[in-house]
Amino acid sequence: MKASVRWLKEFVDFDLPVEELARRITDAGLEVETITALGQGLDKVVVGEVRKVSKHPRADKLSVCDVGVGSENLQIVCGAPNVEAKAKVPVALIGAELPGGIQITKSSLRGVDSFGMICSEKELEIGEDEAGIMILDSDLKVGEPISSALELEDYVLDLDLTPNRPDCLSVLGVAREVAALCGSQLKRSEINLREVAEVAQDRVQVEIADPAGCPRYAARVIEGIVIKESPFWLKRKLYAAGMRPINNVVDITNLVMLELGHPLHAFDYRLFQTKKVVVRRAQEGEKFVTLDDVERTLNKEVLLITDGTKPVAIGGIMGGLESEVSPDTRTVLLESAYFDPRVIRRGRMFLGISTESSQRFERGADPNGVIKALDRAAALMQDLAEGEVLKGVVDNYPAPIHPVKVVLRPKRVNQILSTNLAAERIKNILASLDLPARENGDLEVEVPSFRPDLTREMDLIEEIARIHGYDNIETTLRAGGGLVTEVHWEDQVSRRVKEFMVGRGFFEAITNNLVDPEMLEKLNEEVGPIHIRNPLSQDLSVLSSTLAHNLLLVVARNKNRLEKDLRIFELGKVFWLEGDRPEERLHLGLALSGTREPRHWESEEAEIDLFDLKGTVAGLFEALSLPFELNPGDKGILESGRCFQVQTAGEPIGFIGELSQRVMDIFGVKEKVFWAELDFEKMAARVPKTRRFSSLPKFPPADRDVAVVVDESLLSKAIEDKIKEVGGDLLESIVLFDVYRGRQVPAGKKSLAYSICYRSQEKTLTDGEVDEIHRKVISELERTFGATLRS
Amino acid sequence: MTSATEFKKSVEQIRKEALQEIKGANELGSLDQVRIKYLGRKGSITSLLKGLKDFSEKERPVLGQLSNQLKGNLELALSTRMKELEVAVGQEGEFFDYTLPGRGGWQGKHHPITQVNDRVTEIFYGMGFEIARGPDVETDYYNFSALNFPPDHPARDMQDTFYIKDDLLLRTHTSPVQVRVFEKRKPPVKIIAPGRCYRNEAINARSFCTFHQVEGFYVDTDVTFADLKGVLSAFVWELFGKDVSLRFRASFFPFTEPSAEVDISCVICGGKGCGVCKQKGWLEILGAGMIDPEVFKAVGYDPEVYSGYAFGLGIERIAMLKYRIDDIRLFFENDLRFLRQF
Repeated sequence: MKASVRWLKEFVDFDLPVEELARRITDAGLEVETITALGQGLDKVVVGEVRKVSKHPRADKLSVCDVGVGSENLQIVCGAPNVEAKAKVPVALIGAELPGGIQITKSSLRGVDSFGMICSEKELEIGEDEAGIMILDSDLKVGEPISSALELEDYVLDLDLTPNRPDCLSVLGVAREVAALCGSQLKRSEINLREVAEVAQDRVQVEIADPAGCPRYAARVIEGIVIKESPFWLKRKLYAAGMRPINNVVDITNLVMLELGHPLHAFDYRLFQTKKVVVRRAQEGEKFVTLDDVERTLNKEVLLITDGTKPVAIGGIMGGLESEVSPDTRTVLLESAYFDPRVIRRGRMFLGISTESSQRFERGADPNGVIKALDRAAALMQDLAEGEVLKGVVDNYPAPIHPVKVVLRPKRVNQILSTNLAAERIKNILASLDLPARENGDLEVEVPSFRPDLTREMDLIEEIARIHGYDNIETTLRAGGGLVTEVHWEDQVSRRVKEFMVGRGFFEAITNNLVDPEMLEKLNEEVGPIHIRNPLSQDLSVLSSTLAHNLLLVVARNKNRLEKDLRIFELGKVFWLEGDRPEERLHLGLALSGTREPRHWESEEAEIDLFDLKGTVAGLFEALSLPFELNPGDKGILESGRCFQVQTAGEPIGFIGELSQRVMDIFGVKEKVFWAELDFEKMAARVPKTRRFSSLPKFPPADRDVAVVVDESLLSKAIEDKIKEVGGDLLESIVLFDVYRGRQVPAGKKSLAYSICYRSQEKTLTDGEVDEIHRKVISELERTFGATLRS
Repeated sequence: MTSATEFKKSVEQIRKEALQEIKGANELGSLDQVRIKYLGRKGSITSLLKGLKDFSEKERPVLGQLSNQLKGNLELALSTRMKELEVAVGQEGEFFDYTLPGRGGWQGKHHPITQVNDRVTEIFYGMGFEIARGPDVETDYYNFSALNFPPDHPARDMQDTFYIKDDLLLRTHTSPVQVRVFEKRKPPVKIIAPGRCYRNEAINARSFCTFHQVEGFYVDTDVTFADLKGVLSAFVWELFGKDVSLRFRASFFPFTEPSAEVDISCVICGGKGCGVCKQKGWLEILGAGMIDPEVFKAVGYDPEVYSGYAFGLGIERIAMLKYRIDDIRLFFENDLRFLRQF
């Protein structure tokens, strides 16, 4: 909503700098987005009178004019076709700089001197007409600055209104707020309507077939209309509100809508040969051409205004092409109706359009403001279009909507706001908003129908708070609520995970989980993704069921920017459909690529391999006190044979492995990428919440080393398990410190060297006892795996 | 007699030469020679200081201070170089270059959104708020109906929604967590709910289809609008500093009444007006209000007994202000050159 300050002043007196006005109404909830100054840069443009027009001696299309501008007469060469003697015109004097940047200097046009310029609306940027010069009202005073003569200097407040305030989609509504905020009175104006003897009722009947969708429909008939251009003052108001003038009748309906907030529609009466207006719902599939020349297919949500045989407008949304007022319209049927907000909303959403009219009806127009708007427009048509207003309003209002009564307890106001306002002050605030209140113990407030947002006590409390001023409510700092606060477990674990990952050199990524379904399909995600019904675009149309899609994109993008070494993780949600039910779960995704360590002056560079990833994940499990196991697995995006399932205490948690060539090609990545995706929620659920201390060992440990040569295909874990089994209580730890193939080791074999630590909880082990258990370990390895000792 | 300008020039000349020579000295002996040359009894600085007496009383203090600064600089450089050479001597004559890069693995960083989110939740945690979470895929009931957005109401247009089915959508705000908590618990409840939200809005520098919010709410028998002002003021001062002022403006959200938009004085220009605050001097940072009685009715709280406030703030918005990031899309691109900066 664009509100002109000059227009507001027609409804309320106030004397505030525009910035202060904007601040006050912004604080009260009518947010001023921008303030635009109008009529600037017209300092040296005055009202002139053309005294004489003569032909330019050497140019057919130019005239030489003698123009009076008050103190003197100027010779001005003018090229406009419509210049004529006696016309009052805007004259830019020498030295003027017009808003478009034109500088006026003394010039010579084809040998004739010119001392100024007669301007068009467009050149002054106060209108769009550029066909000819602007012809001013003949009663303007010659020599007067144009900005004061035409009341051009103005400020326009562009308001970003919240949907609860339909009343402020009008100058009157904004003025009411201004009055309340400035302690001023709203000015009431009289409507001077002179009806003729003929009766409107004889010309038209109104029938409402859908009173729920259209609770009220009123019409007037105006004859003898002369369609022409609107006077400048009217056009100026429309321009200020961001609308374009069309003709006097249409402009009047728009003016009244802007002024009072009630949308109107003017029909050419010739269309109503049936002398009937019938309001009904459209039929499924019914077609109608709206005034923007679009054929629209309707459904049952849409309200139609018809003449009983054919539709003439979409009620509350848009008129029809055929019933539009045209230059030869002589009789106007003027509609002022109240439509149900939900019906208008559903209809315009189905049609996919939003108009000035639908915006107001959808938010809630005033059912009891119908007649005032109708009369105001009719009176203007009488004054500006030579209209003769037929007697009476044809008003169909089967079930009148009455003002709501709301009880407001001053005590409750002060309780909620922590204020100390007297009942009298509260009553005054309400009165300033045109909300009459009766004191009856509490306050009984009668809410007029132009404020559909006020139906409950709390709504009125907000009104008190707004006008009293949020800044005038105190600010209290106090402790409150429970003292024992529950700590969200997953949040605690997620912080630990993130700290661990960052400490291990990983950057945290946060990605958009709306992704491209085609890409997901290529990643062989076996679960059905969740589709968005109204996506922004096809490539953002499903919720991702894996973190791989996004993190691999991050890898690819960074690689393209020549980042070779990548260590990235994300702790984010994945989504899928479990039958019909949506599921979502936090996953941890890790991507690794490039060199193992930062380049350093002393050490060799080595490429990352699977054991870097395994070490990171195993370390994370250790940090969270979770057991870590790995088994061969199978996952679409990972290279077979280089894909492993992570388990904790037998529970599958996710996969780690090397990205397959196929997937690397999809993302256009050349270097190897290692990938892990783990179910964070399963992990968090198993992280122990408490720990129990075991007393520290009292006796010393004893280390023994052993190197065994075994078959290449034997897993080192099998050996470790065996050592643990044989070592039993005496075994403390095992470290594999060497894996060797080559000289002295037969082909198809490998040598594994372990350092084994023994310790007893009961006594210091003697060398003999340690040797004995160590021998037992070795002989079991020999027996079970055919291992041979390597000396 | 030299002029003051010449004097200053020679101070700079000495500084340059001396520092060069100190760096170049490779053993303690030669370093001591340098010391004597400049700081000895007949050294250049000593004679410089002696020359001061020829200047006027007005010039003398300035030039004196200059010379003393030079003296201090050189003394520090000498002692540092001396220690360096001593380290080398300690290692049996082999020079130990302690300026070589150290060993160690890669260093990662938390995403800036996480850093801001953690800071925000910490502040509220310190004020006695618990943390709760809710799903990203929500029902129409929790996201809208229970929050007093009636069906077919224009308020729904305030939040462009991604729909999965008629009654299933991506939450447009973290407010559904309020309802989920209220259903399970009786007041007092004092909770923050951080999480991801989605809006079906064109992607550009100022808006992205997904973003992070922190919801906060407190319901008890006597919570007032003044308490809301208090908790948000404390939060803002903690996050942006005590010299930031707040402005509460009336606004509209279906699930709060009275509702407020909260602005803070522009943290970039201090309220004078700049490009970031669009010359307004104020920055909008959060929406808030007293929880609407309709919300209480939907969950079976008696609005005559309980009152409460709620607020919601955008993490990206705060991170953009704190770090002066001008494009929200950067958060979701995860360019390492971006992530390394935080």
